[in-house]
Amino acid sequence: MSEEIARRFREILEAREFLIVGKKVARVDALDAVLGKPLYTADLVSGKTLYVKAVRSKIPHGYIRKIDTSPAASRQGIVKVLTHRDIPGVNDAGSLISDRPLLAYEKVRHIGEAVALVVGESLEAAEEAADHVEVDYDPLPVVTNPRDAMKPGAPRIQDRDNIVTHFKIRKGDVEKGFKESDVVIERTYRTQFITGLPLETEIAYSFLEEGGRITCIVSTQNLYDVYNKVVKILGVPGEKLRVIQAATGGGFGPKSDETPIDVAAYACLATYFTGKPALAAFSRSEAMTVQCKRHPFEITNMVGARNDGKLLAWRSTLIEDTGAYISKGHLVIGRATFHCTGPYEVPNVWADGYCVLTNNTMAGSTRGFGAPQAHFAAEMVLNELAEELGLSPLEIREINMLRPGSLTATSQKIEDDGLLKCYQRAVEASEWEKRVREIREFNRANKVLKKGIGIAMLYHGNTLGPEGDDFATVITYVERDGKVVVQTGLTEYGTGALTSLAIVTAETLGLPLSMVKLERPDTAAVPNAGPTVASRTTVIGGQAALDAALKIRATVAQVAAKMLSANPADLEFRDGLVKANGRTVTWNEVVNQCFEENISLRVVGYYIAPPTKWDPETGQGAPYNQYTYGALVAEVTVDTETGVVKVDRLTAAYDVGRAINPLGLVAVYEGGSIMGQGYALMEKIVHDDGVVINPNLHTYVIPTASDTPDEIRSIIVEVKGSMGVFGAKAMGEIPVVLPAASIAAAVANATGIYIRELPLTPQRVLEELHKSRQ
Amino acid sequence: MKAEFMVNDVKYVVEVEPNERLSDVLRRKLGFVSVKEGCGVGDCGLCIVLLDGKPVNSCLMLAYQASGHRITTVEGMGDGTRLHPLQQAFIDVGAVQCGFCIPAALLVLKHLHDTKPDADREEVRHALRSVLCRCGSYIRFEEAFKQVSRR
Amino acid sequence: MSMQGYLGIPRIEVMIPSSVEEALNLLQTHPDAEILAAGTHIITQLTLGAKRTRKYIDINNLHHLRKISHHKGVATVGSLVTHQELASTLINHVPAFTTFLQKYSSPAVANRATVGGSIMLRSAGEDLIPILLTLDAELSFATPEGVKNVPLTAFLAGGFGGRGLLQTISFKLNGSCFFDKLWMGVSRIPLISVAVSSEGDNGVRVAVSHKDGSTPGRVATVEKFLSTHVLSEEVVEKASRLMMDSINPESDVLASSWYRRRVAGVLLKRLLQNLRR
Repeated sequence: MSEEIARRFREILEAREFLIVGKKVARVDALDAVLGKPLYTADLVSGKTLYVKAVRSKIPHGYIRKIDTSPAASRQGIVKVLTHRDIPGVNDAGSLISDRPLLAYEKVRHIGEAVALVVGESLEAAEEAADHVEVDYDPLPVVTNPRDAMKPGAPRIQDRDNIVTHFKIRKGDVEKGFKESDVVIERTYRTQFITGLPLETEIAYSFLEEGGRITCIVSTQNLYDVYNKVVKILGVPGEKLRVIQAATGGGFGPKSDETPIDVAAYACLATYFTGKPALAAFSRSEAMTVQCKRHPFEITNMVGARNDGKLLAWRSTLIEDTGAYISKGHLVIGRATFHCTGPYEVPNVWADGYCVLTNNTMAGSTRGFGAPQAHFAAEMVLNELAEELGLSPLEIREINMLRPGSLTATSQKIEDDGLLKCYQRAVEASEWEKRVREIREFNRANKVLKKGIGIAMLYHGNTLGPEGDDFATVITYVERDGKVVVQTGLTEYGTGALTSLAIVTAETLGLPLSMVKLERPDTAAVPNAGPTVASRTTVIGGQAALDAALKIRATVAQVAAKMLSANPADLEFRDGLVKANGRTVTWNEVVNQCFEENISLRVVGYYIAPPTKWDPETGQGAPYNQYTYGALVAEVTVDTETGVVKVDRLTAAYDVGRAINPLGLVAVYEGGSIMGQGYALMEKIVHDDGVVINPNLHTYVIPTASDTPDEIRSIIVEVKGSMGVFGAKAMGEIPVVLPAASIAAAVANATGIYIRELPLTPQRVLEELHKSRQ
Repeated sequence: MKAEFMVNDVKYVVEVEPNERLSDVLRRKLGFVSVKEGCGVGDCGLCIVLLDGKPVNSCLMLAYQASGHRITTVEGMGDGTRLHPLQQAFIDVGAVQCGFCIPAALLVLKHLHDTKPDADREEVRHALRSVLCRCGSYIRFEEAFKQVSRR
Repeated sequence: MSMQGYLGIPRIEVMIPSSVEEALNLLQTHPDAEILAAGTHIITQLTLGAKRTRKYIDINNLHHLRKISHHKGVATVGSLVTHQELASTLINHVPAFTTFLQKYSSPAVANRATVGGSIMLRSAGEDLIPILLTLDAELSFATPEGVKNVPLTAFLAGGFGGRGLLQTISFKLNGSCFFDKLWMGVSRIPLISVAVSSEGDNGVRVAVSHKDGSTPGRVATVEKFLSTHVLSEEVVEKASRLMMDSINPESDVLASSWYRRRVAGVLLKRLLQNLRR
């Protein structure tokens, strides 16, 4: 009965005009934020606590001959020193693949790998003692170039082949395609290590509760990843650990990956052994050394087309450096390879993606997950091809873009015209033709400054697809005062996605947003809701929130129907009222009645995405349920004497499916664009023979307010998707994907030079200009 | 050592160690947890407070050195019952993402608003350069400032 | 870094003299102590574990070191004057200070960092140094043997050969002094910075952040060339190229020596073109 009503209500909701969805509303956590009230992990430490500091390897590769902890252990203020031998459970901190020990034994494989833990009564004592743990190494040859690591006979990083994954796409007959092509070009593109750099570094605080349960408060995207691993590391039954996510100062991928597990385990081990509260936090340089980074890629694209611009064949070789441990490297290479042709239809595709181990620091989840690298190489080669063909960047895109009925590189049929709409809106809003003319004028009049314009486009397979179980759970309950509480294991770390869950809930129940409260994610209160990654919170989590809210509505409706002598399915929920046949009861009256009648208003909402299918031998199939599309136009001014690239304007059009919270979207558009601009122009973690030499914010530079473009035009395109809540599509990661590709295109337009390696620092640009003049 | 200073118009007399930084004392001893720390070396600006009305990095200052000065944190921005207009504008324009830099961003803009309410875009960006925001809310902050300026 | 706001820097001992005599006395009796002004650099180094000194003489109670005065075209600035105070007070006399503030990598630091601190660091990261070099700055140290005056150029070349307290910095107020720099993010270390000031018939002073390695300095060859030529378009071009050949900047993670040489020449060219106008 109630399920049927819920189904009926879903139809009603989707048929009528939304009350809150799509309207400009403030995020539910904005007021606290402007008052400085959110409590991040460090803010929750009260009273005396122990401090845990890791002893980290000073060499990138070597056997551990001996670890002598006694000089550290005997120091004043040191409570305990731990090595791999002391781990009560399993010495395994790999988030998905168990290749990474929490504390190294036998061998260290990258600079900064944790070898021991020092637990001190003060941070000072712990830090000083950490320098006194003596570790003897037998250094091994250091392999930092994945091409070297792939060679037969290369030193092995782990007890396995250095090539972790060989990911393939085989579509059509690529040789035939090249033969039939009038123009074929081949180019190699390179991208760099960058760090996601949430401004709050990794941190965890643990203490013992009554009953001997350890509670761990942690800054993380993935509550249950931390929980599941730390339980095993401690070797305790599940009920002996509780993990709570505190307010989290940025995620960007790394906080979904390995290092939150590390700090949580450090703190929990100290509490496990001493019974006392313990805090473990990374310093900025620690975070910048060991936090999972964006994978560097070397991508060689060979593309062939007819004279009329139609792409006929595409061969990609993608080599991904995942560092010393796999982390998510085997999945990132998959996403990059799936997207290696960009959002274009190519009848014949051959792609080989390799995930390779080296002695560099670990790369893993970073906002975009392989897409920025793949799209940079795809968009660049397309522009270079267009130039060979005498076509404009717009023409080649119009000819080849994915449209309804097109087949992707994996032969998945595209159903909607989101890409075309994004393209049209971006071109129109950027006043492309007019700007092209103005730029021509400007460049004629100026010798030193040169302006340029570039476009790049994307498609982005939504949510996890082949990367994991794409489910979410939400617990929703109504309190006696009528407030609706939404609690989930999905996390807020800046994206605003949990506000979307609140919006969906309020919309469904016809309540103002202020009636919906969000509770902190807590393993003692909520079941696993899957990871908060892959821009899936609004899309998948929103469906779970909708499921829960519909169940509440159905239950409430049955009670209200009696009060109003009406049919439950005919009830209207609006403005905190329930109405039928011209009669009204308030939300609170119905809730009160439910409590009187002992009717439970606590439900679990659940959603799981339809399974995706693809053939690992050919990559063919439908790896994702739906795609987000986008087009980004960049305008730049290049100072040809200094190499400085200034981004004048970005025009971004993304197909978000359904804008649940447009105000939040604008912040995500702009913020992602700026982060992407850092990737394009400034950021690079530099390894010198495996040693990170710039783990600080004054030599690893990120964009400041002064680097912001003069203008970012944010255009919301809504072509309803088939999977997400109310048609929503994944958005969190998307805006970071295209800036590098479109800025590099604009620089090429300004200077005539295709710079095939990121970032486009002033020095690189000047060097390239210099080379071209010689 | 003894440090004596005002925080948000309240006088504090605190016993401090010479190596305690202003950020340490504000957070730990006085409970102003809105003062964040993102790098500890004056790069990120998340520990910014107003010292006699001017933004300074509280991680680059020893606590005793603040003696005799007036400190403002974001907790002292409103008038106790109402938000400062910049705080309201931050909410209205959707400036909050992860929230970690928000107190510092609000304080540098408060100083700018107090000293130059009609500051142009370059001046707003110049002031904001003291605060890194990895979520990239810079344009939202600028919008908020504009909104308050217009009033 | 301490995150939770616990002691982030090691234990230190601080002495706070209330007179110059007392400060000098402490310098004598504590050879292992260093002078601490605002601490924007020293605290950073302590936090990073890069500094071993544990004893400091905090001179912040020497209030007379906060004064700025000028007389007959010469400014005298106390060593405790902050970057912000210095530049905003003298902005109408020295146009370079406008750019100095505009291009300050992290402006909040200017509210604390002191002029004396910048001088004592002698590093390419201190934008004031090239500017002051072109203004013929002279440093005045209090020492147990009395006041010692040392030109900034000489100080950069080798100090002044003793322990003392930098009290004041004097320099010319020159309305034709200009400054420019390139930098990235919040890095205090510029890609390059260049200052020029015209002395009318007496030629042009030129200084750069990375003269040798990461030490700022004046560029004699360029100055000499400019002193014997009228600033024509062609002379500017030649000076620019000469600049590129006359300095030997270090390569670091932000920029190569090649890049620094080239853009030093470019910035010089632009500043000289400014002078011509």
